Amino acid sequence: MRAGKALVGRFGRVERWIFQPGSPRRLAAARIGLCLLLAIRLGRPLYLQLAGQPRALFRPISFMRAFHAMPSAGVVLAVQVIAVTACLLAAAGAFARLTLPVAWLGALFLNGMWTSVGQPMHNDTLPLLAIVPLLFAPTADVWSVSAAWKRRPAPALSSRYGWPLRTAMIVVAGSYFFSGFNKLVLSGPAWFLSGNLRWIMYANSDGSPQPIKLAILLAGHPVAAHAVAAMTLLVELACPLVLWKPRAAWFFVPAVAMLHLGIWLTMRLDYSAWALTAIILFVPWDVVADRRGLAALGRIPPLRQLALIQPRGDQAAVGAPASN
Amino acid sequence: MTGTPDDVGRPPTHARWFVRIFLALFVACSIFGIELFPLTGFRLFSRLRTEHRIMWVADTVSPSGQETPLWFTDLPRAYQGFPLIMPHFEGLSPSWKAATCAAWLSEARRIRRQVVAIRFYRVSWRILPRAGDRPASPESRALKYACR
Repeated sequence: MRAGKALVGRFGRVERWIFQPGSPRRLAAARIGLCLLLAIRLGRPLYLQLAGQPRALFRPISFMRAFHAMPSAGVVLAVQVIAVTACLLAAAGAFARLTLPVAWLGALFLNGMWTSVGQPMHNDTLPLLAIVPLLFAPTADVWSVSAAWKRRPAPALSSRYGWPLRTAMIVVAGSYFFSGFNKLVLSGPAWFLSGNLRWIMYANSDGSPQPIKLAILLAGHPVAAHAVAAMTLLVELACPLVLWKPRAAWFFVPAVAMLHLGIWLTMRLDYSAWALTAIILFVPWDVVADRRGLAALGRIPPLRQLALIQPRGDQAAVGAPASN
Repeated sequence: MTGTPDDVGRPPTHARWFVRIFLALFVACSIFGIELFPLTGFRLFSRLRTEHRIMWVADTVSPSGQETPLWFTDLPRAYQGFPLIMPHFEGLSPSWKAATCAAWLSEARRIRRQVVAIRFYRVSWRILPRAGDRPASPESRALKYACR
C-alpha cells in the first residue's frame, strides 16, 4: 500500500516535470532541427536501392508485414519526394499541423523498408521516436513562416510548449539508458570486463572487404578496449541524469557525439542521426539565439546562463540564470 | 522574446494520456525487447561475443570451378542482408531457399559475368591469433548450400 503510494507519487512528480511551462521557441527549434535532419536522411539513395528487392530477400517486421514484398521504385520515389518536401515545409513552419505528420509517416514507411532486410535497423529510430510528441503539438507558433505571415506576438511560456519537448528528451535519454540496461541484463558486467568489445571490433573488421585499421588497433590493446567499453556503458546508463541535472549535458552531449563517431570509425556503422537528435534536443537553441543576438549588440550574458537544458519552467528562456 | 507563463495549471487531459501511453509503450518495448518499429527493444550489441566466431560466407564459382569470395557490400543495398538472413536460412522451406539463393546468384552475375554457381559456407574460427589484419586461419568450413 505504502509502496504503491510512493510509486504514484513518483510518477506524479515526473508528470509535473513534463507538463511544466516551456518555451515556444525551444519547441520550434526542435521542430526545425528534427525536420531538417529527417529531410537529409530521407533524401539518401538508400531507399531507392532497396526498392524492387526480390521477394525472397524481404524480411519485414512490425507494420511492414502488411506488405508482401519491398515496394516498387515508383512508389518509393513518390513517398521520398512527398516526405522530403513535407520535412522542409514543416521545418519552415508552413502548415506544420499537416506537414509534420506527413513527413513522419513518410519517414516511418521508408525506414520500415530499411528495417526489413533481416534485423531491426536502429540508425534512424531516435529522430523518428523523438518527433512523435511533436506531431500534435503547436510547434510553429514562433520561428515559422505561418507566425511571420500572421504577425502574431510571441506567445508566453506554456505547458503546451513544454510537454512535447520534455517527452522527446525522455525518449532520447531513455534510448541510451535502455541500450546500456539491456547490455547489463543480457551480458552482465562481462560486457565490459571480458574481451567482448575486442571481439566485436575484430569481427566487424574481419567481415569487411578492407580491414578497419582503427578497430584492429583498439582491439589489439585490451586495456584501452576495456576502458572504451566501460565508458560506453557509463555514458548510456547515466544519460538520464541530463533530465534533472542540466549541467550534466555539457558532458553527455559531447560524450554521445564521440560515442557515435567512435562507432563509425571502428565499425563503419552510421549512428549520426542519434548524435544529431541529442544535440537538437538538449542544446537550448532559444538561449543560444538570445546570446547571439545580445553578442551582436555587445551585451554577452554570462556563460552560466547557457545551461544546456532548463527543466524547471525554462528559466533561462526568460533571462533568469539557470539554477543548476 | 517570450513572456511569462500563461498557464501553469493542469494540462489538457488528452495530452497527459498521450504522454502516458507513449512512454509506457516505449518503456515496455525497451524492457521486454519488443520490436514494434519504430518502437524497439534497444538490443544494440547487447549479447556477449566470444573469441570463437561463426560466420557465413558466400563464394562464387567460375566455369573452371575456381571459387572467389563474394563481398555483399559490392552488391546493391537490397542484396546486402546476407549475414542477417543466413543464421535462419536452414529453417526456410526448400523453395524459399532456392529463391533466396537464386536472387543472390543473379545479382552476383551482374558483377562477375562468368559465375556459374554460388556456394554458402558456415565458417568457424578463433579471432586470435592473427596473421596481420586477419585471423590466422579458419577452424572449419562447411558447405551448407549451393545453387546454379
